[in-house]
Amino acid sequence: MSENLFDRIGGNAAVDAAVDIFYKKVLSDDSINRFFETTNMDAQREKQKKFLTFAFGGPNDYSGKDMRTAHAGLDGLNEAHFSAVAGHLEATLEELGVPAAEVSEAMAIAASTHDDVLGL
Amino acid sequence: MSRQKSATDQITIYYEGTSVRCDPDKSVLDNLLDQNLDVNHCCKNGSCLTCLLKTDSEVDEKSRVPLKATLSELGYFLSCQQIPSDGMVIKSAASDDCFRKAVVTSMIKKSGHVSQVFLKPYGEFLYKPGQFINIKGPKDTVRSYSIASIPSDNVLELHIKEHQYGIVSPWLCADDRIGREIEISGPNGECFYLPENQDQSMLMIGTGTGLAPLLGIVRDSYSQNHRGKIELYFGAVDDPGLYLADQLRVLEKKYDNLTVHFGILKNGPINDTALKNHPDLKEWRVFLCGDPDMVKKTKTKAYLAGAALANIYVDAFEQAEINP
Ligand code: FES
Repeated sequence: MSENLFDRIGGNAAVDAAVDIFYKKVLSDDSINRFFETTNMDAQREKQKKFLTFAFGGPNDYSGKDMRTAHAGLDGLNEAHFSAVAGHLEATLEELGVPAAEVSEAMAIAASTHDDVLGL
Repeated sequence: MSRQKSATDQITIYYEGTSVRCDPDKSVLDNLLDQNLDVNHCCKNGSCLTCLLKTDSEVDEKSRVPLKATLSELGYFLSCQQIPSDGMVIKSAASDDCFRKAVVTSMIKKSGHVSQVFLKPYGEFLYKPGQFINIKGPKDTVRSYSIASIPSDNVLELHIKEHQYGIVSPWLCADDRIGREIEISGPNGECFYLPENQDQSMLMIGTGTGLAPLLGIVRDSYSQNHRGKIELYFGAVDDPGLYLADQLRVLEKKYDNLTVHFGILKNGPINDTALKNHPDLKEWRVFLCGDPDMVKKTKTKAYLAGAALANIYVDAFEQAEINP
């Protein structure tokens, strides 16, 4: 397995497919969708795409600091919200038929953002 | 012991020749307003384009994205979308660059305090029905209004709801405005019909004078031979608010593919009715105009109902704050 995670998952095409499913899951989840409410859904969707590219181990310009500032203004963001989003990510990958080994690699990358997202 | 706030966390910009100390975390607009400088603004979210200012300094992409290339070229940017950078030199929007004269030719008073106002700009005025223009009212106050006419009408039609404490709407709708000149700029906005995929079904939801851009878009799509069906939902608080019902019924008879649905608030929000009737919006083109809250919520719901974001066009009518 010389290819990196991003290529194994399917590269940009996989991110495109995933972002639609993922963003819909997030928006339909009443426990978290208030954090994603915005008039500018296109910009929000682009952010989700960046995040997925990052979780897929792809080329990205996401830094821990970005993660921190992006989430700093979100009042009441807690552990439960973080796991809800992580759950949607996992479900999205499974829906797309990503093999279990790759799913857990991506989940590990996503988990690495925990402290920055929650501002710990 | 008094100590001055450290100078390093403040920066200075120059506006119309005066230096202004700025909070680097606030927009250029808010900084100027904090200093009681009179700068036109309305939505503060980058959609109305009334807060245009001019600079030769570098600005962020997002303070230029909604502008036409010609205006960006001249150095215009949206002051509500831009944070200040030290030493930035800013000028107010020179009115002759973007404002031009037009004559109010006629006016029809409708129910619900709405007037159809007709304008004729001097010279050629190119626009897409559904776009909006900005009108300069008393005390240089600028407000945005969407265009309900199509180019072959040879006159611009606007639907203006008179707000009791408004600055521009009562002035514009006054009977003695007919025959007088006013100043307009634009057109701006991306909520209009594109003649591609002409068999596509279209769902349109408008509340209040959010009907204006939709009327323009419906008529435009027919003049460009759109073949897909159009489901138009027009909602208002009460019956008088459905100010153009008669004209819409006439239009419905004329255009085979058009179905118009009316709704008043006591029967539930019109957007809910529309989404209930059309639960699957995959492959649809969707237009949402009017109340910003309705537009925001419905955009999310339309997306969840399968519409692609690129197929959702919106025009949110932000209300200006009313100064007591
Ligand atoms: S675009 Fe800046 S105030 Fe509306």
